[in-house]
Amino acid sequence: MPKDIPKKPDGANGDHRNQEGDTKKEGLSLLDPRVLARVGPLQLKARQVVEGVLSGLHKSPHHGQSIEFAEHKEYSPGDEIRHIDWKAYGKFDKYYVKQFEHETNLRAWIVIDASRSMAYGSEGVPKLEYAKVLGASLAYLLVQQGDAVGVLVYGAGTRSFLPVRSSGGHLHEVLSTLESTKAEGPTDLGAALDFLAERSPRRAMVLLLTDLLDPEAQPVAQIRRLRARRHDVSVFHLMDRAELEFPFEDPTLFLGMEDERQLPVHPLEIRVSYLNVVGSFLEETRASLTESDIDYRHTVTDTPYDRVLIDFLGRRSRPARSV
Amino acid sequence: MGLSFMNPAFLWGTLLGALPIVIHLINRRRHRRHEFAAIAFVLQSRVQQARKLRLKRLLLLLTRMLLCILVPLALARPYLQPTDAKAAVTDSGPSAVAIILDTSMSMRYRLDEEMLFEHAQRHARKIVARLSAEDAVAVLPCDNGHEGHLPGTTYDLAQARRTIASAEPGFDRADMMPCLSAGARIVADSPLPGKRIYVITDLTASAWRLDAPPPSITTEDGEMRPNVIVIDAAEGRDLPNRWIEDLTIEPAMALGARGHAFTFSVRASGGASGEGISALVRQGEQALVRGFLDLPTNGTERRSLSYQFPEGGEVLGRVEIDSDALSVDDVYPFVMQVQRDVRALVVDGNPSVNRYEEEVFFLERALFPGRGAPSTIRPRVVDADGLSRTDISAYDLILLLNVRELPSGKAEKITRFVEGGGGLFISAGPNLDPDAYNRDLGPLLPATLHIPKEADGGHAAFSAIAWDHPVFSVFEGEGREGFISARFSRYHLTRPPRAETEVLATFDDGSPALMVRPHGQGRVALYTSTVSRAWTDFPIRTAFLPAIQQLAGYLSRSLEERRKTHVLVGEPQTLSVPNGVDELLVVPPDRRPVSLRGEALDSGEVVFSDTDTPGIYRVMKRRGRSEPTQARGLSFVVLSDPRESDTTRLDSSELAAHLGGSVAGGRDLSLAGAGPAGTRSLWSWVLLLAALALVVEGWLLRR
Repeated sequence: MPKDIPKKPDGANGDHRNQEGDTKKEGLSLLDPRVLARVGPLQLKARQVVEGVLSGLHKSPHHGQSIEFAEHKEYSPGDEIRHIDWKAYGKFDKYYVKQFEHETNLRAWIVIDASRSMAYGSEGVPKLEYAKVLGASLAYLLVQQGDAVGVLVYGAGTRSFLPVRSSGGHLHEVLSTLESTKAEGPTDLGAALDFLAERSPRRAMVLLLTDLLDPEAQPVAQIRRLRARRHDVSVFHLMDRAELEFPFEDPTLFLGMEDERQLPVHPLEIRVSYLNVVGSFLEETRASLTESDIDYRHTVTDTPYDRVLIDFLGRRSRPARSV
Repeated sequence: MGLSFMNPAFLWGTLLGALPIVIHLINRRRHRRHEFAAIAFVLQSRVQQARKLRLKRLLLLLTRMLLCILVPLALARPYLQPTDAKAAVTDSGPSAVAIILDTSMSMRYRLDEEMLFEHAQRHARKIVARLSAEDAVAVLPCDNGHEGHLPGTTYDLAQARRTIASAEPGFDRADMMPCLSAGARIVADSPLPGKRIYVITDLTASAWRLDAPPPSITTEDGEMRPNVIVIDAAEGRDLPNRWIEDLTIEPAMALGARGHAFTFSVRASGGASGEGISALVRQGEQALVRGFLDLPTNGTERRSLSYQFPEGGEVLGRVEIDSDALSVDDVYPFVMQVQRDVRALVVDGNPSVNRYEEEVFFLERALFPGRGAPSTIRPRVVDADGLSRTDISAYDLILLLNVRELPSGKAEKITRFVEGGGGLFISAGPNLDPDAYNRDLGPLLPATLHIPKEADGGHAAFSAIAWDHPVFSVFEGEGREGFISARFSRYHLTRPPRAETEVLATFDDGSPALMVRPHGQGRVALYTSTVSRAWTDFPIRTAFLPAIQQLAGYLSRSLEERRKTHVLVGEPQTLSVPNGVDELLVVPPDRRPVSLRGEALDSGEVVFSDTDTPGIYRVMKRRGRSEPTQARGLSFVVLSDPRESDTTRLDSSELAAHLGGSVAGGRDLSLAGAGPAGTRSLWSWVLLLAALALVVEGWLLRR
């Protein structure tokens, strides 16, 4: 775990339900997916999210720490004048300069599922849109702290691929790639992960944003194979609220998004069964991935991005997992 | 038992049973289309639920179909009825209700200190209180049918209560079948689907004619039977009653000329009996004669009480027995004429030294046999000269026996005498001058007199006799032989009888023997032979005396006075208007006098119809502006129908069998109105089944 990733502030326990409750109490924030969806370019969205996250961190009880700050040292000529801590000068009548650490050995892959099923969004925020903003925010965050970021967008096969780099221009390229991504076609997670494994022989962090809806394959098994290659894998399992709660009432003809299936259903009749099936699926997925030491994050797409990021960063700040 | 429906139109609603299938088919087409990423989970769920869902859907469909069928089925009000019963109209939903209140005389019976009619009013008020705002009601007080405009049903229940409160029992007899028919017409005229008739009565057997067809209503579906609920105002109890069934008043000659025997029957019904029951004859409030009788249970006892009236004239009285719960029939009123003295002026036209040869000898004895004899005729004998000196207005009857001709100026007086109501008897004998009579009394004579004639073969006999005439109606059997054996040697011939003349007897050759003719208010009789033995032996025949008595009574109008004058309640009474009367006042019992005047009196007879109360109806007459005086012989009695006094109760099962239903006891109204008589209602069960289907449907939905 890179030590420069900010720790999660106390009180943020990562439970999205509580976060959602807080959100509802506070009203829609600027980081609410439904609000942010109306904001312009992805770059702006990512910046908004990250700055919001950082701003939130400054407000935390541990705001003396930051992802750049390491320690103070007495000023000596040659040091950057902008790093002089003027508050310390006022306190001790001596010049102290903030010392920063620059670790650039983190390699992170942002892998985004852009299959047709990711186009689903019951309240105006499709899963892919959510994934794009979340992925862009992660990339922005990582690049800002000097880490190298690569991007893999997949559907039936690899649709876009950007190798891992840490330059500022690369971030722009990453964001442009994500912005132009559209949800279409079926899913083939296995092929995408194999492609990634081939091009990333070194151990890296893999941030997988997917809905895990692959009718043909065993996505969990494929992810576990990636973990077996010693990659640090985090899975953002994106689900729409409607997929989770199945709120339909009227007789509905459900149409498959990645195939031609059509199912006429009285939702009220199968709702309980559906919730059981989904619950079992989530529980099995969580258990299976956690068992393989894979960071599993069940993310509902109406959860504010900052909550997800803070939760993610908070968990990452714990002692590093064995890899 | 067959299945029928009170609201068959609602059966069309069972087609709604197809509605769930139609909705199901429509919904299949109208599924909302929705792209859904997690369709795999939906599929998995559906596979898991497939069998359960299929069964649930099938059950839901069946339950909803059942519900859609059962609700209109319940509204159609199914019921089971005997297969031989005529279809009955429904009593469900909004109903037209006719409440028939028995107002016959027997409803005056006092039970528990109240008249049965008051019990009936209470039941009627209960029925009205139980009606809904959608029901229309008509209250029909009725005893033996309803004349005139029938009341229509109304939603104004207050008006119905007022009608119930203002109704009163009458004195007429009951015949409930016409009342039921009237009730059926009332409810038939209402557009409301329910037809219900309540009959609140005392269930006396005489009120129900079970040979008459039960009431029916003509509807679009044909003849239907209304729902008739008979409510027993007596609440199943017996109604013991005694009453005077009839009364006969006859002369009792053994007591004297004005002796009369009051013979009456006392009957018991409803388990009534009695010992030492007092029976009393009253004139006004004066008790005349009293007797006692024992009455077996539900039996009849006949009793006769005799009384000699001291003087003649009109007697208004009553026979009464000890009062019981129905008191009106314990009194039997009567009006009778005690024969008054008939003052007869006998004019002997041929006095003789030998009394046995006189015309007057036999006739005087026939009119007045002697002191102590039961005759009220008081004859005075004069000769033809004496007639001219006699004031004839002091007499009721003048008998001219073989008088040659009338004294000068007397004919005119006799004519006025007859026109004023007097009687005139003319006996033709050898002295009589036909021409003089034809000249002086021509307008009065029943026929113009002609010459005397010798009988063919020397002996003529009566041939045709009008036995039905009041003069001869008393002769029966052997009593007629006195006429048949009489022989006549001579008699006067006459011209053909004049208009209005009645020939009461003829001789063998067809010549009239006795003729009567009215003239003015009086009557004239012409006998064409002698009342002595000069031309006939009739005066010594046994029939002579009663014949003369009858004829004298007829001519002086005292025969009519002996007859009983009564009508039953509701029947009209015809009154003869006395000459010169401008107004008749009829005084009913306990009511104000009713005036009859004007053109109604001109015809000589007037019909009085307002006879709805039993009792004595006194009749007064008024001339000009004078004070009204008693009109002799016009007062009459209105009697209650003795059949109404018979409180023998009808077997309710017999009535139920006739009407096709059951009879409710007054104490428990809930027994009534549950449905068409004789049927078993199913609608509540169907409704229960529908409710059950609804519960099952809800339970299935929540599963």
